[in-house]
Amino acid sequence: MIATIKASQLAVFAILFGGITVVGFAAARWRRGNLAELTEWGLGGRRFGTFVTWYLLGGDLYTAYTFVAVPALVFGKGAFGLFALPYTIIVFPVIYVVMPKLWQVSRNRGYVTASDFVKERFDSPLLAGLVGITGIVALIPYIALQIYGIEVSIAEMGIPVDASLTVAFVVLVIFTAVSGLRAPTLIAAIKDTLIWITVLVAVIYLPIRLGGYGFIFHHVPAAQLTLPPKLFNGYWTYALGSALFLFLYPHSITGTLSASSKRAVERNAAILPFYSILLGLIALLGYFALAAGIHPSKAYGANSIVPALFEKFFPGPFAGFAFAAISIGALVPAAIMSVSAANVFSRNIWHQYIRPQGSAREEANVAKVVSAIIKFGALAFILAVTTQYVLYFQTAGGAWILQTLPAVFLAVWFGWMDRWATIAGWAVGIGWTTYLLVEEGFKTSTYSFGFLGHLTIFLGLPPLIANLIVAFGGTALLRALGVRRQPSYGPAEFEVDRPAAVAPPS
Amino acid sequence: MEWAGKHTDPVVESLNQPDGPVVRRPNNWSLWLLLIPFVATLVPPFYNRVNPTIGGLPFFDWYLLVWVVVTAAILTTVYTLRRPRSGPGENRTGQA
Repeated sequence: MIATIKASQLAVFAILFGGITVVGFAAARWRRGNLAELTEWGLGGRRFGTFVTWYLLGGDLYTAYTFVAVPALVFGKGAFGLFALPYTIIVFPVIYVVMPKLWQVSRNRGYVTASDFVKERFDSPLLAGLVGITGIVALIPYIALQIYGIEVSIAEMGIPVDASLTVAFVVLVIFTAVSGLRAPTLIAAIKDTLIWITVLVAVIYLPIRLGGYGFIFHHVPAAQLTLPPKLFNGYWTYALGSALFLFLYPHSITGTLSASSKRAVERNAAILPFYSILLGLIALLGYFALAAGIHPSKAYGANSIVPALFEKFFPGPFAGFAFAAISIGALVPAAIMSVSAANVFSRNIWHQYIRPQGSAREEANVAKVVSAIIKFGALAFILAVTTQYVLYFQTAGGAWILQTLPAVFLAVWFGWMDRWATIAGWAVGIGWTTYLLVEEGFKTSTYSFGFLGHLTIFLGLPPLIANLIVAFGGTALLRALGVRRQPSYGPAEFEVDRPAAVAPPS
Repeated sequence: MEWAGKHTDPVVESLNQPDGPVVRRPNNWSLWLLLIPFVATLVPPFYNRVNPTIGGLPFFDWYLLVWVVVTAAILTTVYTLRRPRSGPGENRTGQA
């Protein structure tokens, strides 16, 4: 790759990136709360309204996955990469059915993480810890995807990658430690503005430069525009699996629980799809790059095509703007992810098993340290795993976190599942998933299941089905043997404000 | 923050008997509407073609973009149908 440094481009990038760093530190003072407490540091005090929740979740969910990984897959595999659209369509019905209830029970009982819920719902600190560890491990490849997204943008500008990435990384580590969830929430507003401008310019200006949409799609090989029938099963299983796992990730739950009311969560399920339009438009950039004859770089392969497209067609300063948009667009979710993973560790591992007598201040401090450690784990993951399509980082984590669906999502609706059966189901699901991911070397999340007539599908789903069979079958078996169900609470807790609710700080 | 305590609140406890009376949840039947986007988008043969195009955009692509909007509309409909018809309060469902 021959890249020359352009001063104006670098200046714009540096100003924007420096600006959000300042905002990140200043965020500690926004809607001021006691940042030595985990609900404040890690959940913004649970008082974000519909609109703030909307752009926080938008900033949280539409990540380097959207801006880098999806167009790369469209570039390399054509319409198969568009599975991201069905995925980001059907995820909203899933959210609507589960998350408002989870919000309500969390508000009533003061939960910060999914594991807090699991612990009381199943009366099982063990299951809660297992769900917590799953969340933390699953986030590592997903955070790695964000750092990778920043890296491809920096590389395209031709500045020394290692040095600049280190700077970006240190900024990320420090401002999340100082400001917690407030930093990415404030920056999310800036990120959204930068991304929308970049994308709208890209989908209007690039076709003008390239000769119109008709010309672009005429120059994409016809085979790339539709799906060969042999990929049908891969396509729908990726979409369905992703829609089921997205809101099991700790950062999605953190983003949801920081809302101020159940209605804010319900409304968000209806208004968040507008970000999916954005995702759809960005996915098309993969086709634009094909039509424009962009060559994937040696170092980053197809993952580099969006920055390369911007570099080739945008005027220098605006390319700098676009690279800053992608980098900041990756930084926000990386921050939220590490905050949420740290919440989980601090509450459900540290407080539960290591030092139950620790103070609230200690709990928040542990979270701050862990959020940094997790980011380094993500950095190590990038170095250890080289992948053709970085998108599979997200689905690898997803295949793991999907195995917590019975313990979290199903438990929101059903109180009858047995804790030991659910733990056994989790063990089967996680064991099988891990085996498959290791066998594929994390390079892809597709697997051809011989016993299913060589179905080539997303590898997380068959383990989930095994998981469900064990959880349901095990529950039925234990009841038949006369084992009584664990104490739990009834449906009212998911529906109405508790009369003496754990009051939000005022 | 303290762990949210065990089940100590008598008012909630009375509402919360696992086999006791269930708080009425209005219009849960409308949740079935949410299955429509699954059928529409997870079956590729429904839209796996290039023509007709709109402004050069293949059918495969604009069909899915249209479904983003339709899904938002379905969610808004379900949200409206399930809203409590009376009674104050942000989070009340069923009898106030």
